[in-house]
Amino acid sequence: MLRSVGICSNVDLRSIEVYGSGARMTFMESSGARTSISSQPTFWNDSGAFLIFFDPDRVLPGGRVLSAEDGLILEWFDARLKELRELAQIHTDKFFVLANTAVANDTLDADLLIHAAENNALQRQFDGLIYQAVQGLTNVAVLDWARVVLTYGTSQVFDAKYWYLGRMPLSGRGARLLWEEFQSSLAMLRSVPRKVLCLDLDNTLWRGICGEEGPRGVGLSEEGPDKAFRDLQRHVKGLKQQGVLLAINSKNNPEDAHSVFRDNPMMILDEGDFAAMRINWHDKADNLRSIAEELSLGLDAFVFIDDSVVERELVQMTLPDVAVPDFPAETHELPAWFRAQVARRYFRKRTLTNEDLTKTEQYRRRRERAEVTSTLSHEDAISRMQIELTVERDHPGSLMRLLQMSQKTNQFNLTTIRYTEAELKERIFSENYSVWQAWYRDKFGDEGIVAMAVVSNKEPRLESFLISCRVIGRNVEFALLKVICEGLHAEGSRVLAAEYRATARNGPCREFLPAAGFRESGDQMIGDLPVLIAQLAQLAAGVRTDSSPNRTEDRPGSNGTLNAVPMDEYRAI
Amino acid sequence: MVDFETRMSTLARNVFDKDVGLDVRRKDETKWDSLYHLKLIIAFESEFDVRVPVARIESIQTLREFSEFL
Repeated sequence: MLRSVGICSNVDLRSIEVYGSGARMTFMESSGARTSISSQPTFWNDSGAFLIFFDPDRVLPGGRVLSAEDGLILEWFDARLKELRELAQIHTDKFFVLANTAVANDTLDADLLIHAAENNALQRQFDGLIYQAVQGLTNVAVLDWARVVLTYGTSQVFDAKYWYLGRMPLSGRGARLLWEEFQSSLAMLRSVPRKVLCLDLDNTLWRGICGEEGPRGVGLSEEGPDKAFRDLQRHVKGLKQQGVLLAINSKNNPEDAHSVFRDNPMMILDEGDFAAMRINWHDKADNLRSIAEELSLGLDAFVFIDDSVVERELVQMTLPDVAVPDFPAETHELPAWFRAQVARRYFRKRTLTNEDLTKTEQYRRRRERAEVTSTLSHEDAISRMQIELTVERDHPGSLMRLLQMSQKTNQFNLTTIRYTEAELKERIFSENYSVWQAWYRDKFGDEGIVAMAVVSNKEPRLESFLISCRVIGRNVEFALLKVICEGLHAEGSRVLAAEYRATARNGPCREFLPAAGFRESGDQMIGDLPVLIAQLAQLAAGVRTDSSPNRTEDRPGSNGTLNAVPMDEYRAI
Repeated sequence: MVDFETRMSTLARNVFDKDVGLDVRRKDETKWDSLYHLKLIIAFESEFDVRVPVARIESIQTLREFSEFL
């Protein structure tokens, strides 16, 4: 069930309903004033999602612009946001979407118009408080209502007729736009963003056909309609910088395509931006399967962009897991379409980690590793790679990266427990648990945190154990488990319990526990720590481990997150 | 006209959460208060892409009367 709340400065609640969109969004109605968000009655015990919409006309009432009062307004606003934050931390099973402020009501008093600059400053302070309030909360998103008002204009979102008739803060169109943005925010909160943007080339990244027009003849310019293609490339590059992998899937002679990257000075993207390329005359669905295999990712991680409706439909029919958005008919629509229908729809992320920023380079190193090790035995390959694993325990600075791994790792995940931020944080700080993480480095570079484990200390029991798919096959899992077993043994434990919970996707770790030396015991598996340690020492051969307790702060990305930057909005470079 | 009746009936069902006859008078439907009247106006304008003049809003007594604005 969906409920939504409108909050005003004196906390009168309004009723706004949307029709014709196939779904209804209702604001709570109230005839009385309330003084806080959390004082709502059973409201917050309902299931579903909540929209918190501060009516700026009440928060910034006309005719009241006295600097002495601004401090009180900000205090009140900050107090409401703190209440919301507490609510969100209590009700972690619910989603909260918080709209930022925008003045759409053009009937405001003349005083307000005269003092618009002061009120704009206050509004910016409100928005600053809003973004601060949602930091670190995975069940709260900011709805950029200000952007919607700016995009569509106050005449679209506000209707003076309904303002005077019933004090409706939004027009019918405005309510519908709010509803659509609310749905988009909810989708972002609920879903896992896609990982790969796979693009055609001709008439997608540039106008024309490179094989016919030549590398400098294709349409890419800072002037005229072809600028739209350059702007599109900028947006694509912006996604790459947010950790999205780029791939090319184009029917062309390879040299014709490479020559554009090499010889056209108007290109924004270069070949190094792409994690994989298939430039050939093969079926594009087959190319996509091949790219997915190369990147070790499921097809449900892919978005495919192609100007050809035939190619799009063929891919859609053959590979239904791949998202294939429609392509705009007009060139000038490209950048706006890409932002709304591709970036925001499929790649919207809550937070950015350092691992995200270096995704493409990680896959490039992976290719280099494969080239070096392809002719060697597994043991020789591992030892040649000079793998070092730094294992640390209960480090709160890595919370967001560990949360991300817990939510996204499917293949090598023993129990597929999807922790919430609150659950993981509790385990990091609790004496009853220990949360282990492993940093990976080899001769090709640093991969960051690639593995985690959660141990319930009482038994002890391995509650969760997972590693990133990009390091499967490098004995990382054995090395991490060995360090964990050594730590538990040093603390006086004799055995470690564990279990494997089968899912459709975690087949790669089915044999992990038996191989490590665990034996079946009822509905779980038990390992004697001295036996496990000896067995794992052999299995982890070639991986050097460092389990020093102190973090080295000069390690790249050592805090695991990029200052926990909220990514509620996609931004082009 | 048939199209109007169908669309208006559906619209009213969405607003009132129940079926309301096209010829039922406003004073005879308990749920049809001033707030629901406004909701009907908003829904009607949105569904049919027309504007109901402010001066005429209060004079509307039945769902069928909305057809005058088409």
